[in-house]
Amino acid sequence: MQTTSRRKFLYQVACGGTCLGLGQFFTPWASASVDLTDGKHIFINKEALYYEKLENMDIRCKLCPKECEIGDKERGWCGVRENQEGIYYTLVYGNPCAYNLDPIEKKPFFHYLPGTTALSIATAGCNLNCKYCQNWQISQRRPEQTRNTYLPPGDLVAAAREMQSPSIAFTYSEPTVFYEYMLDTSREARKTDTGAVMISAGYMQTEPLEELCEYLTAVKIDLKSFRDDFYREICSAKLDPVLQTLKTLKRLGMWFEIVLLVVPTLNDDEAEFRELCRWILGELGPDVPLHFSRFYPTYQLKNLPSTPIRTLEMAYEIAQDAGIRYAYIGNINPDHKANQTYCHHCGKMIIQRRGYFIRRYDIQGGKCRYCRTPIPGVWKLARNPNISLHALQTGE
Amino acid sequence: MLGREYTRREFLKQSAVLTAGISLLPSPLRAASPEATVVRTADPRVWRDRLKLDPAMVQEMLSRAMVQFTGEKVPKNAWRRLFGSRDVVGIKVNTLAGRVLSSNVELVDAITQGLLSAGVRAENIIIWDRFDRELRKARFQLNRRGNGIRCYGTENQYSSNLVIQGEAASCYSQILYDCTHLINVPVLKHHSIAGVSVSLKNWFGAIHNPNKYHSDRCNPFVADVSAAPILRQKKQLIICDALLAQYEHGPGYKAAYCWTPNQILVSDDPVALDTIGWQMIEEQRQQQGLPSLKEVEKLPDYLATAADDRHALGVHDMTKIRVVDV
Repeated sequence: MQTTSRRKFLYQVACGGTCLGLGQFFTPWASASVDLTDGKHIFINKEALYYEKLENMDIRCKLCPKECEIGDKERGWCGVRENQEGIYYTLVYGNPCAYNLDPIEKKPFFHYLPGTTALSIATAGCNLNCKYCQNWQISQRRPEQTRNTYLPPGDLVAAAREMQSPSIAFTYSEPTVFYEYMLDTSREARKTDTGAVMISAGYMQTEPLEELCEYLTAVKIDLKSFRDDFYREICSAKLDPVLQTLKTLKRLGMWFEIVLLVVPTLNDDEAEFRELCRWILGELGPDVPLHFSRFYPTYQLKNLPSTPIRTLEMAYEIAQDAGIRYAYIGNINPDHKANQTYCHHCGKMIIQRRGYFIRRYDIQGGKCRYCRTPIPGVWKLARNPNISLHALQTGE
Repeated sequence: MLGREYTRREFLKQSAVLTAGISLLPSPLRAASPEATVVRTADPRVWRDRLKLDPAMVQEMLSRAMVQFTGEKVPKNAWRRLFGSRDVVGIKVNTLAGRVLSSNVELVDAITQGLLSAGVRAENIIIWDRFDRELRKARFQLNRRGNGIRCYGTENQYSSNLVIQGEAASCYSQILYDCTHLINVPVLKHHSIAGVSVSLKNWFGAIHNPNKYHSDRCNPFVADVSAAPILRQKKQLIICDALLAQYEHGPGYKAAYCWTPNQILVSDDPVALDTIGWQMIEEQRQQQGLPSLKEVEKLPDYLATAADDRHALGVHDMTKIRVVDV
C-alpha cells in the first residue's frame, strides 16, 4: 500500500489533480489494491451501512433501489461493495481515484456559492451504467482497476480548508456507491464549516438519503430522462426512485439543482420536456434550477451526433414558458444567454458567466441588486457567512 | 468467376488449402455442426483422502480424456494435435471460491504437463484469473515475470478497447490479447443468480465489469461476453474441473452443498459442456431432495441464448450432444 501525505495531495491537486476533464484518471504516485482477507494490502476494512443479512451468508443491499442480493464472495452491481462471509464491506472508503479543485459552476451549480471552488473527489464504481457516461473509465471500473490514494475523511476536509475551498464535492462517478465515505466526510466537514455537495443520479433509497442530507449543503441531481424506458434501456435503472429522491430533497429543504443531458433521438422529445417541466413545477416548485446539458458522443453512444444547439434552446424555451424560473443550457458557447442568471422578477441579468467563471455578480444579501427580490439559492454558508463569491473575489 | 480459369490441378490445390484452413478455424465457428462431443472421465480413487487429490490419478484421468477427445492413441499426440511450439496458451482458472472449490492445482499441473509435452514453451503458458490474491488462496504459486510457467492475476491490466457485444460493453483482460490459444478450466458449481457457473460464466472473470451483468440471471450477458471476437477468434479447449462440485448456494464455497463427482469433462463446445454440467447439478439437487433450478426460477437461460443463431457458441440441444464416458 502507498499512502500520500496531505502536503503531497495538496501539491497534486494544485498541479491539476486527476481531473477527468483533463483526461488524467489516475494519481501518479499511488497504486493499491483492496484485500480484505490476507492482510497484505489492507487499507480499507469498513463495513457498509444499509444492508440486511440473509440466510447462507447472503446479504441484501439496501442502499440503492436495485437491492442487490449478494452471495458470499460476490459484489453488488456497483462493483465496490463486497460480501465477505455474510458481512458487507465497502471497498472504497477513504479511497478516491480522482480529485481536482473545480469551479462550483462545473458541477454545475449556478445558485450555490457562485464563483467558489469545490475540492472534488470520486472513487471507482457506479450503480448505473449510462451508455453515454463521460467518466466510464472510473465509474464502470472496480477499485482494483483504478489507481487510488488513501485519503480518509478528516484529511480530505483538512485539505479542502488548506486550499481555501469552501466546499467538498462528491462527483465524477456516482457518490451513492461510496456512501459511507461521503457521509463521514460530510460530518467532518460540518464541524469545520466546510460545505459538502453531492453530484448524483439520485438513485438512492430514502432512508440513507435522509441521513446524508443532515450534513450536505447542496445536491445536484442528474435526471437522465423523464421516461422510464430510457432509464431501463440506457441507464440500467428506473425513473421512479429518482423522482422520489427529488421529492425527498424538496421535503427536507435541501438546496438542489437538476441537470438533464439531452441525447439526440433518445430523450430530446418536445413532449417529454413539457411533461418534465410540468412535473417539476407541480412537485418541486418553480425555483429549482433546471440545466439542459449538451451531449457529446462517448462510451457506448459514439454513433450519435452532439445535441443540436437548437434542441437545447427549444428545451430552454419550453422550461421558461412553463414557468421554471431558472433554466440554463450547459456544455455550449460560454457566452450563451442561457448560461446567465436573470432575476425572475425584474428580468435583469444578475449573474453573468463566461463558462465556469463569473464576470458580473449582482446579488446582494441573497437578493436581486436591482429590485431586491430574494433569489433562490445558497449564497452564503449558514455558519460561515464569510465564504461567498464577493468575499472571495472582491474581498467585500 | 475469379477473373481467370483454373486448371484441375490448381483447383485441387486450392481446395486442399481451404480444407486445411477450415480445420484450423476457432471452435465456435464449428458450432454449426449438428453434434457436439463432451468427454467425461470419472474415478473415485482420485481423492487420496478427504480434499487431497492424487496428482498421478488426475494426470491419468486427464490423459484418458484427451486421448478419447482427439482420437489419438497416446496422450502426447493428443496434446500435439491441439497445441504446438509456437503457441501462447492462456489457462483461465476459476479461483473465486478459495482453497477448496477453485480449479484444482493438480489438474492445472496435469494440463501444463500436457502442453509442455506438445512442445509449448513454459514461458508461453499463462495460468491466470482475476486477482493474484485469489490465485494465491487457491494454492497457485504466482510467477509474473520469472522463468517457467507464468501464473498471475489480470489485476488492472485490461485492454483500453471497449468491446460492445450485444448487451455487454466491456474491456477484456490484456492476457487474452497476448494468447493464441485458450484453455478454460472452470469449476462445476451452482450459481445463486445465473443458475450454474461452468465454462461460459467463467469468462466473466476476463472482463473489467462483471458486476454489471448479473441481472436477469445473467442472460443474455454470459452469451454476449463469450461471443466477443477476442474470445471467438482463439482456439478454445474446455477442461472442466468436476472433481469436487457444488449444487446449491454457489458460487462461494459451502461445504454442506458440495459433492464429489470425481470427474473431468473435456470439450471444445462450451455450450454442450455447460449443458451437461447443468444436468449433473440438477441430478444432484434431485438426489438431495432440492427443487430443480426451473422450479426455483434459476434456470440458466443463457445457455439457450449462447446456442442461438446470433451467438452460435455451441450446442444446447441434449439430443445432439454426445457424451462419451471413459
